[in-house]
Amino acid sequence: MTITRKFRSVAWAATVASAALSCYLISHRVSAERNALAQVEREIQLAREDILSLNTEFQTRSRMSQIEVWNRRDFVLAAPLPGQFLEGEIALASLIEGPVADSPVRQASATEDATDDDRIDEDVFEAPDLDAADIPRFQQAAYLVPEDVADRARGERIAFLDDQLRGAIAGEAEREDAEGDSADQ
Amino acid sequence: MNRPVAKPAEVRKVSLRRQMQPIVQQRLMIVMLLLLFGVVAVTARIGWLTMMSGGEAYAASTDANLPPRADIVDRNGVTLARTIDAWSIAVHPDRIISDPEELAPRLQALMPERTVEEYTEILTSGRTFVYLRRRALPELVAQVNALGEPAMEYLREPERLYPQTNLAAHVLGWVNLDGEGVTGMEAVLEERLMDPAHRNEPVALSIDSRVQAAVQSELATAMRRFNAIGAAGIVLDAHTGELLALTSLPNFNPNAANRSSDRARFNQATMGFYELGSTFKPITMAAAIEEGVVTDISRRYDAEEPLEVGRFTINDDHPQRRYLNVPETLVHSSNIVTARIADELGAERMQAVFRDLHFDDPVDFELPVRGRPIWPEYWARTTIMTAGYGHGIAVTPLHLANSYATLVNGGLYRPLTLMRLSPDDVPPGERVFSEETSDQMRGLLRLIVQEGTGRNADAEGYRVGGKTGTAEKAGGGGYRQNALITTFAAAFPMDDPRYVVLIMLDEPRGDAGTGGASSAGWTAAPVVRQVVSRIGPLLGVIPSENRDIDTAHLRAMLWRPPSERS
Repeated sequence: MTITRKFRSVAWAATVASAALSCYLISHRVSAERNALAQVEREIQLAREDILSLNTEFQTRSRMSQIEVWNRRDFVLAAPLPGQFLEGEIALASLIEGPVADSPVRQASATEDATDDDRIDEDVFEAPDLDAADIPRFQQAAYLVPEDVADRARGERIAFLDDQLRGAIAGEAEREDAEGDSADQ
Repeated sequence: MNRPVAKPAEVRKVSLRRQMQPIVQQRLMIVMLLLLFGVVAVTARIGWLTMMSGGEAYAASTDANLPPRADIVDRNGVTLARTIDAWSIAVHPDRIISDPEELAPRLQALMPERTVEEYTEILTSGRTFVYLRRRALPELVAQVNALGEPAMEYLREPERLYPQTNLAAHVLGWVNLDGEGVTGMEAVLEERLMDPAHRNEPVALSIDSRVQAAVQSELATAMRRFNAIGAAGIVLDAHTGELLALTSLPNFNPNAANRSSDRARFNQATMGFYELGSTFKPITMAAAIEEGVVTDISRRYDAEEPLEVGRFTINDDHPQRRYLNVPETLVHSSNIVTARIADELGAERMQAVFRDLHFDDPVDFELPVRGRPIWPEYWARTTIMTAGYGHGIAVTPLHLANSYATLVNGGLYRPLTLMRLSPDDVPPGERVFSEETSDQMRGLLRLIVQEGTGRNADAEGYRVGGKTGTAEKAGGGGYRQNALITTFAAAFPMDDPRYVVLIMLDEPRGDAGTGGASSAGWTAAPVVRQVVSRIGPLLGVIPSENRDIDTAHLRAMLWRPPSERS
């Protein structure tokens, strides 16, 4: 009885001390976290300073007077002439040498029944019903090269081949002639 | 039988212990309370400190981001001035260990700005702290550190750095060792640059560093070629009054401003007052057209003989010896006809136009400008006549550049500025000339470059228009024949003028390439061509071979010798 009474105060003291200690530990932990945060922030700050100083160094090294020296001495650059500028697409297109449409002009042909569709149809402006079975999802378009144009193109190709062949034969003959001449001499 | 009986002494002891017990417990309690109180106090203090120091660390980290002085950037954000952490080298002479006689020559070898004797004196002075070098390079710090003297101290201090070195040096100015602006925009913007609320944002000037570099390099080339003693160049946005380039040569490096000469620090474009000669003629003509003195530019004026007014004779540099109309007057830069027109205009109307162009005030812009233009006190008839072609009245090149902007931009005078303006901040301007006069002047200025003295300024495709000005320098009680100020004031593109370019050379000497001529058409005009063809594409003016302002009606008025007629 007396022992428990005597120990009660000690227990109280121990409780209070451990509570105070845990409070202190928590605050210690908080301050440690805070210091770590400050450390990270210091590192960020140092990185920022590094970026700034490297940036400054880069700008100083690439200063206008330095670029000027390189441009003049090493690259020998001069101001662009007005001929080097183009005003729009037409000026660009005008740079193409020779006629643009060299190959035979191809025309899209339309069948007779297509003309019936020229009249304005009210249904045209409605979106097609995609689920309808008769409308294919993918529509393919093809155009036919008119017969005579295709024939002409084929003819030209053959003529070109002929030319090449004839050129090759002529070259051969010449070479043989030259060999013959040198043999004669 | 022999019962143990407590000895009287022991009995006494026990009774004493019983007596003392409460007192001991009380004392123990007090000691324990004291200890507890101490622990609590220490804990509280630690807690307080952790909280406070944490807060301080946090505050310090946000503060470090704030530069000690705001940056200055150009209109495109290129840094022109920035504050960095730099090294400085100092010594504590009272703590020196090595022999000063040995250390001094070594220091002198590394930092030659002082003599060995001066270093010895510093090292033996016994003072506590002496700076040896502010703004030292890290390499130098490493070398000095390698001397192994523990009394040396290396400090990191904020330093103002101008990464573009002497680019726009006169505009920027410099700061002293305490970081206070001394001249230029550094001094003008001192409060804004040091304001903690705005220090994070850089200040944008109107200068375009690419344009500035082009003007500076072309001017320097011309100065070397013509052996000129000075030069100035200005590029101005004709519609806003923003200065894209403002340069004066010779210039200096603001990173080492104290090592430059007074002459290099003198800004000729803002502080130099010059009689700018024939470049005034278009202004006189515009005034005459505006005031209705010249209603028909094809009217001819007598230029057969030199004009004699009292004991004064006005001559032409390129005498035509015939009657000249207005386009011919400008193309051949005739003093005689300009004087006649100025005479008809009269002092009052002429002064009014000059006042509207602010020729009687110092240039109205940020940089401090010393002195006032030289404005004639008494306007005699000869004063009016000579002022008409730019003699007897002295203004700065900036005045002239701005008056050309007024001439070509539709007739509106706007104050110049070195600060980048947003489109809303552009001042509305004061009307000096009407739109029609301005249109007519565009044609005439273009004609001068196509047909007249300004041919060498015709940058192909850029529709340059402008006027030459060759004036003799006043000095020694008269004009010095071979000391010239040559000026070319130009605007481009003339079909819609956007930029004014002004180039001035001080005492150029002609070389073989110019046939010995040192007039503006041969010295200043080629610089304008170079500058315009370099800065045009940068400023979004695309050269065109088939676009130009229509000057056919003006060309038709020019007289040509029969051999040249087609």
